[in-house]
Amino acid sequence: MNQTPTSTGRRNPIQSFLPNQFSSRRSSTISSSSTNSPSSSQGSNLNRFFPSKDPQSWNRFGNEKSKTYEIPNNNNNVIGNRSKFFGSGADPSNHPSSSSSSSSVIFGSKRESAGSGSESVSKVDVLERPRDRTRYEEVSNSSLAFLFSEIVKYTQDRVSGISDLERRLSLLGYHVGSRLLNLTLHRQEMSNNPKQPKREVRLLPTLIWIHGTFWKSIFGKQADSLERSTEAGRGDEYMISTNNPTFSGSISVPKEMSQLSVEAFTAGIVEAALDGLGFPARVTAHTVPTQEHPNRTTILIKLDKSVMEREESFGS
Amino acid sequence: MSSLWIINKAGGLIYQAEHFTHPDPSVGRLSSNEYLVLAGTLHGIHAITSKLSPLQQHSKVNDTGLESLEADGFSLRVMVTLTGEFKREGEACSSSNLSLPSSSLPLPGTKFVLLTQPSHPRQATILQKCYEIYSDLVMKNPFYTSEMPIRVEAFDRAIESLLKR
Repeated sequence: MNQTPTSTGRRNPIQSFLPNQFSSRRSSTISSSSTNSPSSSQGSNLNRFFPSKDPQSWNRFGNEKSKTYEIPNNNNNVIGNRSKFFGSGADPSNHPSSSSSSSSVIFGSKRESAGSGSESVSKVDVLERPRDRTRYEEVSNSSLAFLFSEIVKYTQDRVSGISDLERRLSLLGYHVGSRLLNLTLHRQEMSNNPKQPKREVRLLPTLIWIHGTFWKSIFGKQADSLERSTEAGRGDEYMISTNNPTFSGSISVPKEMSQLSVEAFTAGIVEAALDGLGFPARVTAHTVPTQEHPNRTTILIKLDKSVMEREESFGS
Repeated sequence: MSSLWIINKAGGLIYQAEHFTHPDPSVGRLSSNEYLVLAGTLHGIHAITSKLSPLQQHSKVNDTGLESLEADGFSLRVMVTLTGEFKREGEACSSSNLSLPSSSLPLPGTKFVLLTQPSHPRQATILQKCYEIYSDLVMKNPFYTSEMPIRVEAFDRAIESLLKR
């Protein structure tokens, strides 16, 4: 795995939701579990098994696979973590397939990039640009809006209710967030003091960092406010509010779904960041419209009990 | 006084907003059904006017049909988006990237119709702005199905603030 982490990282959240990834994974499953197959190439296996569209057989292969498939070298850890994460959230029918699909995506993109490197050097793919030189590159808001709109539509077709939809969006955001966290931290350390990297361990500086620096690296500007809940017994709740959130800028949720906040995606990003920094929390998004800002959204962070206990033991 | 209609490709009225004070609220209001009929008629008239020019067969430019209608009491302006499909001299030429089935009839784009008092100076600009808002708030909204009636709160708000200015 000599590939840069960012390029695989950026591909995964999208690719693992594409149906054809599932089929290619299935073919590799089968080739490793069927003993009497001749040493044919993967391509022919794929053709041979593609017609079988019986979902039960898919599931069976998927289950077998987790036993038979062996992942070489130190990527074991990464994949293990990821599939555990999938397993905790996804519904049971998808579970085996998604856990194994993430592994095949990694392998798939590795092969692909090796091929493209030798074939042509004419134009550098967006995903293959040098990691730290793209720091100030910006993405068109319109394209992002269309992409996110399709993500919402796609997800909406595959869920049973609003809370399920929010959970899925948050899950997608989590994938994005864990990568963004690594990228942002890395860039920060490289530009500040590469010899002595430093990380916040206290809660408040961490939250301020997320509200400020982290937000700025994702959305180009800081969040508008960071507050702590003043209600008694809810001292573990913090709120980050934005007046004009990026993702819901062009989305207005119909009345019958007023509970939904598509910013659940952002909540997922924040949750991943907090998780990665060692502050596990439950993060949700709520739309709190005001007269001037009809899209104003509050990201509610409810920190884990262990975090609050640790904070207390540190003292003030 | 200004009123905006949006007519979809098939001639159905998918949006209608009125932003002016009626002198007498008890009379003069049309029912939503009557509006639908009017919009359908306008769609038909527009299709006819785009065929009227005798030189149309030979001209390189597509005739876009009715653009404005002036009357004593009001002025009507039509803007057609370029998302329709046109057929020119036997070759199928589509201005949109959508893979719509090519028919022998030209399929016009979405029509934005603005009704104002006569000699309103900024009709074309307002229509352009409406189109901009439409593409920002309606087409990027995952809860909107294209060609269907527009029920998007943010769009209502934006159009209102535009037309009331």
